[in-house]
Amino acid sequence: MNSKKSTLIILFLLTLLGGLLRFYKLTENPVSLNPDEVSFAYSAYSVLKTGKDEYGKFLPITFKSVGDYKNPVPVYSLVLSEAVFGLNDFGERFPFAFFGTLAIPVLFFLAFQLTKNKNIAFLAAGMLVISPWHVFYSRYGNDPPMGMVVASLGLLFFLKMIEKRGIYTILAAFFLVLSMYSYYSERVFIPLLFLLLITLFFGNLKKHLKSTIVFLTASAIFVSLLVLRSFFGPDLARGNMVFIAKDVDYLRYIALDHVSPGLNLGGIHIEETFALLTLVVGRYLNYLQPDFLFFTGLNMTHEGSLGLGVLYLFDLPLLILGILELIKGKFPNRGLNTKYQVPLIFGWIALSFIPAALTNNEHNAGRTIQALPMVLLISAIGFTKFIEFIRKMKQVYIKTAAVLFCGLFVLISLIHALITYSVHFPVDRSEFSMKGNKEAVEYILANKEKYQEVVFDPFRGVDAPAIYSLPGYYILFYAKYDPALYQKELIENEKKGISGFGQYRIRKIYWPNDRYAKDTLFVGSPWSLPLKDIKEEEILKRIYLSNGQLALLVVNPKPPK
Amino acid sequence: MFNLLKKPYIIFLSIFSVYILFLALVTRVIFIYHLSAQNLLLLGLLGIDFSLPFWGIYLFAIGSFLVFSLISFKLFPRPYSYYPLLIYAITPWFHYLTVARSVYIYLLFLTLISFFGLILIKQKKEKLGLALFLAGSSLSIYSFITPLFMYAILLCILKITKLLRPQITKVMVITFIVTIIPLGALIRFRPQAFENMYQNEVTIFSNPGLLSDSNRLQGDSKAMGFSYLAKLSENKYFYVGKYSLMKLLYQFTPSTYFTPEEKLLNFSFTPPLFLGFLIPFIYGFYKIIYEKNLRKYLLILPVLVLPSFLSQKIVNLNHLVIIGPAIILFSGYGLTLLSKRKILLLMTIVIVLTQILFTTLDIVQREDIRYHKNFGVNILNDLGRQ
Repeated sequence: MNSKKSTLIILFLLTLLGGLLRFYKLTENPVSLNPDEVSFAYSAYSVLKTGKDEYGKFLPITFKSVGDYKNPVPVYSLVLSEAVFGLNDFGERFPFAFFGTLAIPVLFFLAFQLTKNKNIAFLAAGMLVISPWHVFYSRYGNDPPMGMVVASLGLLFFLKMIEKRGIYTILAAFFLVLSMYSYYSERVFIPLLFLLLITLFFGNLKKHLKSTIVFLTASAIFVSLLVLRSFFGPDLARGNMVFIAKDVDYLRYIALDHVSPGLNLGGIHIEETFALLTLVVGRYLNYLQPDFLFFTGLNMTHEGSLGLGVLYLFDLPLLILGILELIKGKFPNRGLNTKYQVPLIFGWIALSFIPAALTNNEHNAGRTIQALPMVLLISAIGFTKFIEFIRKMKQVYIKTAAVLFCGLFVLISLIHALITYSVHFPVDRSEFSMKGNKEAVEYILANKEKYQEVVFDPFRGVDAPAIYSLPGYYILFYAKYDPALYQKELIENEKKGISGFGQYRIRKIYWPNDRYAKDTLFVGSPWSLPLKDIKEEEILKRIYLSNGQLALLVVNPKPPK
Repeated sequence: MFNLLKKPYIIFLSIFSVYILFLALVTRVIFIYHLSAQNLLLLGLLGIDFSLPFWGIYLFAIGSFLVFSLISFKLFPRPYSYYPLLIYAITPWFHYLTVARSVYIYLLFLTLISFFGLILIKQKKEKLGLALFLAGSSLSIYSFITPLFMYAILLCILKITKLLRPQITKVMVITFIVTIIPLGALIRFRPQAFENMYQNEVTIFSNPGLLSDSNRLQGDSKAMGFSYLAKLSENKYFYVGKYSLMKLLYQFTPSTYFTPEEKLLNFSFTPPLFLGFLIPFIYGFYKIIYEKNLRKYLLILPVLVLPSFLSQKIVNLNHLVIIGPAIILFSGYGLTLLSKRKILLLMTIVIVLTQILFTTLDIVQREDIRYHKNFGVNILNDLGRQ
């Protein structure tokens, strides 16, 4: 068997295994579609059926959602998926798991392009197959891994362009810019990456001026629409919404008067601005904290207990070894010159954390997943060094003991990941996957004829009604509600906090008043439907989380005649 | 003749003045607050109730600065030796702990003496170096519990890595053993006193949630049919091992030192070290990894985080203060290298100067209010045991 054939077979097997980990019981774990997933799915369904989004806009570039805007690449991918599989849980998660699986060969080729070392490329791809960070996000129907794989393709074609020019020039521009249409973090990451690439390869780009002009022109054309929308359109709203200045910690810091307006230069409060910059750097550094990286980064277990980080614990020594090898430039590298390679790899990782540092939330693993390809490449380099280290051991019993010990450590880490994913995550975090919304909607759809109106309270939560669960989208999704009808029926009153369509109303339930409503079905958490004030015969269904806690109640009030 | 008007003395005295001024500023603002007193090990074992007076802590703090100056002068040629000194002088970490009367400032002083001794040994002044190392280490061991582990591990590292001449290491090991024999005897006679002090200082596993979390995770896994696998990966040893590793890694995280992520004295918004020094720190650290001769000295670092590692909090800035000088030396080294990279140097200077300005204003205007908001007006004298 020739080398090329065996390479393809190994790569195929790795991709197959990766696909298995990403597609196995895809609709059961995570236990329920989350609000982003149903919202993505219904927008795509609306486009599929009417050519317009649910707000009636024809083939939009940015999709409006409730208090949010969605990227076009995930939605249009879903249009294809729903055309094939229909509007259901699998159809929603399919394209994301598919892109997640596709990332495996992409990383192989990228790592190979960077190092021209097949072993390193296979190891990097193999590590991606089992990466908890990547498996987790590929199984959620969300956009971060999509952005990652498209940007990685962009870099791969850019490196090919540096080597061979030709069609790669257009492909590089297309995929680099396309990633900006795939995930919001890429809109910050890619321009910075452009700067890094131009600085690193300035000599080469200058030498081949014609193809460089083509590359820059193509990029400019592809990105122009996005620029217009980002600065003058609704995309700016999304940016403003998640910008760190809106962060709870920062606002609390200001509100507690730790920072006064103080010195004002041309409308800029110097002290506030400095506090904000310090917070950004602090947030950036927080992504290097060990708990995020190795112990709790994926938030799969109860708060406070150690679950899974974005990387395995065994990645730690490999990363250290890999970093040392890269700095020393000693690993078997026949690819890119280390002069470019080291700053490109470290630069990519360093830039990956910037979008997350600029936005709210302490730790958000999705916003930083862009770093993963290069992190795994470093681990793979570390792995080759480790193998070399083991091979050099002369005493057989020490060698055997070292291999057994390391193997056991890896095995325990993998078992821990498996148990965390299949046992703890569905139980401990079912509330954040909105477990119960599907059951509630199924009950509503089975009994809707009996009632004139169905009211679903969007706020739920076991500890406090603090989770906004977007129930309207769940009804639209599971009812396969006709988008054309929805576009006509949609009512929204932001001031009163009411929205709805047909017989469905999404609003807060106020039981002292609502208990007198006739022919109305109420769905809400025990915070809005207090058990002590409701008669047993009024409760039609109790819906529980995976851990047995009461999540939602379906109630039909029977007011006294 | 000792001439104070010589340029090096003038520079040194200027930096020392900055140190004293900063210390005075912090003293003026938060002098009323202090950490609860901690007895020294030997005195505790002898049944003598003693706590270091505040002026004693101030003296040890100033002593630490002076010993650090000597270290800096030994490691760096002039004028680069002033860089670490200047960073030390304006580092809030030492000032806050001094004003809060932390007994770990005393440990800092002893640790610096020991390490100055090691540097002298390395520079062939073996007798004086050995004397200083033994003085510093013995006093540390008789004053606290954690240095016993610290120096035991340090000697192992010195032996394995052959950082010093084997004969010298041998003398150090023998002297260490001789030093701890009387302490061992004393502990044998007063086990209860030792037990109490041990439980005050070594509190790493005293978090009750640790075992209950592990049991819950194992219970859930068994209930779902993973009983054999759960025994392997969800057992308490694996869980506690993970927790310990996380704690250890936290001691080496940049945000611990350069951002207010961990609150100084549990309430302040001032970072232990100014953020701007992160740039030279990373650069210095990178260059040390790059240099084969310097790389092995990094192995000493884990020893310095041991007191914080063994305490209950994930990161205990009070116990961790003894690693402060090492971080400053890395930053100082980075700063000397940055003198060739003007843009990075300029960035560092601008960030540090801006942060000094804002932090000083913040300390003067808000530290007092913040304390009251965090602890209430009635709790003036105790921040709780760290």
